[in-house]
Amino acid sequence: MDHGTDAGGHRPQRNDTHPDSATDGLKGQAIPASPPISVRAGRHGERLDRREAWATFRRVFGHLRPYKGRMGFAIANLLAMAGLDVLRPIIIMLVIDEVIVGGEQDLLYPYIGIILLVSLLLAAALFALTVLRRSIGERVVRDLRGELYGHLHHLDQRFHEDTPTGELLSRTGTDVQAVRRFMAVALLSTIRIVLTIAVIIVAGLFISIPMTLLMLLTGPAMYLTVRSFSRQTKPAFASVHQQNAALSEALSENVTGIRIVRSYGQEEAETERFNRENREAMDRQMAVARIRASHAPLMDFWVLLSRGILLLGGGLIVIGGGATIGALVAFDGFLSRIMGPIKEAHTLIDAAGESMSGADRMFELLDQKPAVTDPEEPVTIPDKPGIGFEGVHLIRGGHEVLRGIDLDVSPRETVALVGTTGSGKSSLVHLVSRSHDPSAGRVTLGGRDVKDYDLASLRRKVTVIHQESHLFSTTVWENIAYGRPDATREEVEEAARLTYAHEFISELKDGYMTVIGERGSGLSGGQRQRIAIARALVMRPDVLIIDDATSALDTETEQGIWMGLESVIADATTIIVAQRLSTLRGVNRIAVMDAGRIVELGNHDELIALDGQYAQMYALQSATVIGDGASSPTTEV
Amino acid sequence: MACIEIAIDTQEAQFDRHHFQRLLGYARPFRGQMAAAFGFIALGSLAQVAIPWLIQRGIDLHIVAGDVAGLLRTAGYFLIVIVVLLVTHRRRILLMSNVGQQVLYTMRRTVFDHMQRLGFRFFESQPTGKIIARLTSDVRHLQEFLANGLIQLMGESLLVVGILVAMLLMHPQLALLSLATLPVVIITIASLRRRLRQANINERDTMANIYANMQEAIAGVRHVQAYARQDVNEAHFEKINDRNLDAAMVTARRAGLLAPSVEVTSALAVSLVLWYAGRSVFGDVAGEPISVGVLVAFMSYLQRFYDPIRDLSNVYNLMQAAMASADRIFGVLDTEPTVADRQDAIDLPQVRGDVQFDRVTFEYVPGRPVLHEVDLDVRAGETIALVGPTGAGKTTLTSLIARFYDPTSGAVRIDGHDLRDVKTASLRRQIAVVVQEPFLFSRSVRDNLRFGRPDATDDDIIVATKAVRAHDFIMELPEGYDTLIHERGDSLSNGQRQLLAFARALVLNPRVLVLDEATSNVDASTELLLQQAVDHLLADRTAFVVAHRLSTVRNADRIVVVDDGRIQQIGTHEELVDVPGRYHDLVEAQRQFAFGGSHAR
Repeated sequence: MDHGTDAGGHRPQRNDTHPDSATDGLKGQAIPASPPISVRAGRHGERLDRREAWATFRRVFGHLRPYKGRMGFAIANLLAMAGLDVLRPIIIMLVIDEVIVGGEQDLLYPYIGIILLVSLLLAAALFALTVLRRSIGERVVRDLRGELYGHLHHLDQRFHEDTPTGELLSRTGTDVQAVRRFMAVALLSTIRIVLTIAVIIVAGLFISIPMTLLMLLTGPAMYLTVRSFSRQTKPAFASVHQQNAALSEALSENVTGIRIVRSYGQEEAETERFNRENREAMDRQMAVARIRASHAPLMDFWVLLSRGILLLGGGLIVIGGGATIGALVAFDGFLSRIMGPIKEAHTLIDAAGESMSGADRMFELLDQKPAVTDPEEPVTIPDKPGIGFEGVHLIRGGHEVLRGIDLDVSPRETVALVGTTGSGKSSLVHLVSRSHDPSAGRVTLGGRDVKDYDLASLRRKVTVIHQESHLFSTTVWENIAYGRPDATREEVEEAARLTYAHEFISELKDGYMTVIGERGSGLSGGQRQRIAIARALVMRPDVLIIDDATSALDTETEQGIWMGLESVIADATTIIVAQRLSTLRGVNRIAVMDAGRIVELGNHDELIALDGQYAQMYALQSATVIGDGASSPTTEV
Repeated sequence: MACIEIAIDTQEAQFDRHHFQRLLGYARPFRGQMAAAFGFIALGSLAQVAIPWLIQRGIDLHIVAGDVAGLLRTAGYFLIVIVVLLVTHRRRILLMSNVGQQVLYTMRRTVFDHMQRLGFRFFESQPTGKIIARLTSDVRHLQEFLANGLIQLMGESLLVVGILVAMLLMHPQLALLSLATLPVVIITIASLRRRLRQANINERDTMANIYANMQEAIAGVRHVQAYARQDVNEAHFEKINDRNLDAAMVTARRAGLLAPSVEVTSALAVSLVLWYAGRSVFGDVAGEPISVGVLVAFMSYLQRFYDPIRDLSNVYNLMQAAMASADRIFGVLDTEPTVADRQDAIDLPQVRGDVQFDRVTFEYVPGRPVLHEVDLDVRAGETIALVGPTGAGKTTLTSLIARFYDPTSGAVRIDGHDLRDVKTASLRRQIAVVVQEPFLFSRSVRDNLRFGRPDATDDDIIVATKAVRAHDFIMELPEGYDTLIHERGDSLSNGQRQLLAFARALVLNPRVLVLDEATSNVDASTELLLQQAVDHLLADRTAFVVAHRLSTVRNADRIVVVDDGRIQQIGTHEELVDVPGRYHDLVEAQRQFAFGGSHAR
């Protein structure tokens, strides 16, 4: 009997052909295969050195600490099982020697009774163990998942910009599952194999020393097989994983870029490209299958060979009178008891190897320190604060994005940032809510460094409207009241009215209670953006950052929204990043940015009088907007 | 940009003969290998059955009788049998892995290939993650079922039959007696399975919740942080997380009953055998007394006998997952491409670029036309600006030119060729579409630029990049034209990406060009830069420019105002601007908006 199988979940596969099929109770979920996370480029796939593996192991182990009691109980069960497992062949030996050969009729029923009792106890222990190990595994996974989830929420923007969502999901999905496999299967099963073998050897020595030695004859060969298997599979698995990741990437790129593929008629070339990855994936899987084929049957072979040796050698011992026939049968029974766990050993090695690299990737993520952290002793933010940038530099990706910015925005003032793409406008405004921290210089709010404030209250104070709208798949209502779940009905509707969203929201199936689906459920990009802006307005922001939030809207809508925003802007300290000068109604000052510096600063009239970049931009844009029939020199369209 | 969504398909499906037959079709090319594998399985099962038999012989005939020579002979047979087992097991793994992987490969290839022909509606109607799942987890389920499940089914069934035959041959009464427990096992397993199934489904649903929640939190993390919602989210997640734990434990408790019940039943069977053996030795039952060897062989058989029965329910799981996957995959394969080349389609010759819409009506959803009988004649070389509110049908109109869709009625012609009469590939070589979101592939800048014309030389590429003024910034990239472009978060700005997209179109040297809001997402000065690039793009080609900003369109040869799926006005800027109508209104709106307010308070 193979106790290593809890039929609902983990079942050692006999001839599975890929590592991720180590069936896991959760069929049918598509988790993108773990791609090498970019923050750790280069280390994936290399064999971790021993010390590192040990450190990872200890850390995984550390997560078991809260479940010490359960773990102890599980080990107690394992011990009991190992003992009971050995008992049955021994009783059968006694039945054969004493009852069948020895003719002691009276002993038959007691022995049968003991067998039934032993098996009931075994069944109970088995049930307890199955439940316990699942319970431990699931709990550790829950903890890790919660930990990761929280951690990801505190990592800064730079990290999130550099790491694709898919990668993070596979960290929290595939890798956490791999660790669970380790907890639930590998760890306890290893203990079980060791215990069972130990108990069998001890029992064997009591019955017959020569037979015990015969039984152990193939031990070294088994050890060598296991070792060679584990050495060969690790790199093979890593390479399969890598290729699976490449395959999903190729696929996801094709799906997201399908319009381009079509419009350039590149379907065949792309299919060809995909198939190269496809074929490579197949080849690597086959490499794993070959390693399996040369090891898994061999493990069976060694156990069976032991039985053969025992039949011959043990038979000779029995013939020579060195032991009873029952003893021989008992040893044969031991060997078939060991067979199951040993066959499992190769699955364990898969699981352990995978778990360790999964755990390693996961811890690496947990070890990412947020670049933006809370101060030790946060201070309270004053109401309606002004914003100051003092000698701000920012280096990103080896590139100096901001090269010494000095700018003061008084309370309730509105300043617009204009300039070419890449001039640093967005980077600058995102320093206020501490999406990043400056590399040098400081950003102040109400006269104090923004780093002195508690992050959460800073972000409640500073509201940012982003260029791309992101809605959560919940009701329209909850999306608008996202930052202030306690907002009243009037407040939510008022915000929606200001952004010209109330009307279309009311026309939705369930009005404000309509759930927004994954792909917007019929909302246009403009509508989504209007909801996103309403969300910002509900915050009644003291400080408002508008990062080019309306350029994707059509003119009429854009115009309407700016009119709606007017009262809010008038009351808040506002920085507007604008692509189009047409959106700069009601701003007090305009800062023109170029290559990470502020090159011009002043109000509209001053900048026009300055006759610099702004004047030039203004001339060009007004020429293209209020054309009077005479075509402008630079635009033909 | 594109984030990979997680898709979890929780359904299972019952056996479906048509799906099954269709699946077998994929395995058909490998029937030789499958037959061979089956042969090896049969041989392997035979060897497995032979082992207890040999042990029985060894004990009864040789050990008890003290026949050393006989024992040596039996040990020799034993060695042969286990070597056979080793070899067949090895061959079986190799053969079935090969078949499985080949099937997997072919399926991925077929589905991918088919997807390249499917209409955009297919891609728009479901998240990327789900489409990816079709080619990853779904094909894997099928492969698992074909390569592991079926083989396991055959192997285990053969083994059960073999053991039954061996037991009956060895000792019929004892065999029948030990089988008395069989119905108990089957009923227990079946009832546990049913209860387990529901638990499994619940567990998967809670898991799906976890992934959905995580996916959304990660994708929207900057907004979560911006609104300082971390704590609320974490508390919510904890609840979802705990719910999954509870569901998992229900599964664990139900699944945990399976192995113990098999254990108890098998002990029951062993007890029956021992009881009978004891009785027979004491002469309480008729016939020969049971020998030690037979007793041992029976216990060995019984131990192997229950494993297959339990494993068969595993095959059933594989089958259910495979059927659900088959349903989804065949669903994709059975989706007809909305645009397909006709049998007799011709290669579109080099065109001049006359484009004609002839009473074109188009419906995405039957009965709800997006375009109503649109008539439009465009001369080669003309630049047409399409303006109108969101949802007016501008993008749909341009999609028909590239034949992303076929009109529901009416015809689109280029140089008089109905687009449905020509090969799509030959059409698209002469048309380029540049859209608002510049999509670049994660490969080198050079490969991106020559995407539509893989045989373009470096000179061709540089001519194009210089024309749109992208050459200079490309040369400033770390590795120039060999720089790899990544999904997101690198040094290319949106404007630069758009310039690359323009250059990509220019490398193709298309006769007809569609710019769909291609310049609306960038700042004013970049837009100016882009417009200079656009001038190059538009020169002596037929061009359709979709734009919200009138600034982008006022110098087009003709302006087409589209609203509600109909062409409302056609004319030059000068002709339309002072005439009452939609265009006039649009211009007025922008003018007021831009310069109506004061610039400084």
